[in-house]
Amino acid sequence: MLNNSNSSVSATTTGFSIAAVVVILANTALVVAKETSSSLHDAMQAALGHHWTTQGVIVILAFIILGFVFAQLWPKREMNGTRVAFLLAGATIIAGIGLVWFFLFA
Amino acid sequence: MRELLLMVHPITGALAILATVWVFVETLNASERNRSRLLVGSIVVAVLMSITGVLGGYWYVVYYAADKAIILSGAWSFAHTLVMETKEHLFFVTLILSLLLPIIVRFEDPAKNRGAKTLILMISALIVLSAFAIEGAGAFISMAVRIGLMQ
Repeated sequence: MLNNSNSSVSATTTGFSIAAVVVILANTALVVAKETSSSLHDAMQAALGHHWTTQGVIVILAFIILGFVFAQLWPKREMNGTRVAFLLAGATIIAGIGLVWFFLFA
Repeated sequence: MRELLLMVHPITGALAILATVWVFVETLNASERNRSRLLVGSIVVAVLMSITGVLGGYWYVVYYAADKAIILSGAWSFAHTLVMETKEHLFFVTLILSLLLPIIVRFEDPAKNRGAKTLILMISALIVLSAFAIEGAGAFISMAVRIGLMQ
């Protein structure tokens, strides 16, 4: 039976969801940074042989590390699941539009 | 090998979309009885999307340069400068959402918690929509290569 008054999600869910929000937005920021800075692009290219591979590793590692850190930082902190859902949706929409806008006009 | 990788990664991506729809439906009907199915479905999503990333990424890093040259010399050069560039980076968003899904399903009970149910439904919807956009972009890029070769 669904409980309307119980909409809070656990610290682990909150931590990894907020980590996802941060990483999704940071992914777009990193794209803009590497495409506008040839030195950063070259450094990412040199790190793992291809800038896309380096970005993928950074994004996944950042998600895992930030997820554990955020879950530990606020072990007592629980957020409303619906609020977390809309934060994720907002981040995804902003990141997607940001990517299209950058490659369309940059 | 090149053609196999080119064909397999959109297939595993499509299977990941199907698995996400499965998770969405299981969440809509969440109860004690389908709890384990929901967890299995969410793990399948994460695994299939990770395989898609590895296979598609390998193809992109090793083989895409030749196709890129053909696209840039053709009439649909924006298929690389806009579509492929957006696609290759948007995939990381879909991948992160896919990795997040089983974590939330593992720690929450959507049968008892309305907030958790909304969260799982939202993440599933975002995965399906972004993955469909990526699949469509892939078809667009294939057409751009064809147009480039016909010129």
